Amino acid sequence: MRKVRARHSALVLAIIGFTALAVVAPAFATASSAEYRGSIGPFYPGFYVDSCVRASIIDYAPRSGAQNDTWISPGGCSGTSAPLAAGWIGVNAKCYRDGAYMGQTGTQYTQNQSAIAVAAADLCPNPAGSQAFHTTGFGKIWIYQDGAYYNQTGVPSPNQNY
Amino acid sequence: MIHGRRKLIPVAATLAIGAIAITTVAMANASEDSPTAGRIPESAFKDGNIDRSQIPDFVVVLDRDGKKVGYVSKDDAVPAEGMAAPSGLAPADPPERVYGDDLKTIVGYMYPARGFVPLGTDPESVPAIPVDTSVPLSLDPK
Repeated sequence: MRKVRARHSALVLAIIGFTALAVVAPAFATASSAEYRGSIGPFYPGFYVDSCVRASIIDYAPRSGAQNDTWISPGGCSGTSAPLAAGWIGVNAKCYRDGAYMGQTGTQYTQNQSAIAVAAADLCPNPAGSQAFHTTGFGKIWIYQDGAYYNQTGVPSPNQNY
Repeated sequence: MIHGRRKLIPVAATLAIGAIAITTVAMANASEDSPTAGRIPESAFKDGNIDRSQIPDFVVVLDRDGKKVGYVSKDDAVPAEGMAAPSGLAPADPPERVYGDDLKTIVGYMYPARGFVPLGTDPESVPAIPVDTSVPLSLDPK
């Protein structure tokens, strides 16, 4: 009889323990973010430059972001950054929910940096339930010889379902 | 009289066949010219690239509440790569036209950092979406 009671007590404790763990665990779950990068170039706004656009999305808030970095060497998405004049590079972030378009940050241009970023917390509002989200970054870089900006194709973030 | 009618039969048949052929060609052309409209399939977003060939001509637009309000052109939803027109100014992003179900009637505009603004509404009356421009990219919640 005592053995049976002891077993029951252990079982009850185990159930309480698992229940408590199940309730508490999500609170400790880390938010996930993801990004992709894509580079194009070389361009010659005075000298060799690669343009590297990245697009990110994160599962809290949610926040959508995009950044455009310019690199001289070795190019691509790393190396020595390119000190371009103000306004020579820009980036825009657009957000899509379940394949539908929800808006953009608008293109922001550098002041005196080699990179420019945009991030908006509420570009794609996140209602209850599960939806698929993508942010896409679109870069712009001034091409000195042509006297025009080159529009870099969109670099989409990985899908985030939340 | 009967002889005259017999003469008319081949003419009528030719006209009928011609009419059918013209209608068929017209319908085929109409089908080819009809723009596609819908959502961007998940498969169009792949490994850091966008496959523009999978994007419909007009993409569904949602307002801030997630309600479908119309469509924007593919080039507005996902701009193509290429050289912009020469200009001494950094190109701004004009409001994007949002079309109704007929894909012709303008029902509003998508404003940068505001989202959908119905036709006839002052965009300034729509709350702006805060945009950060800090480098490096910061995705911390605020």
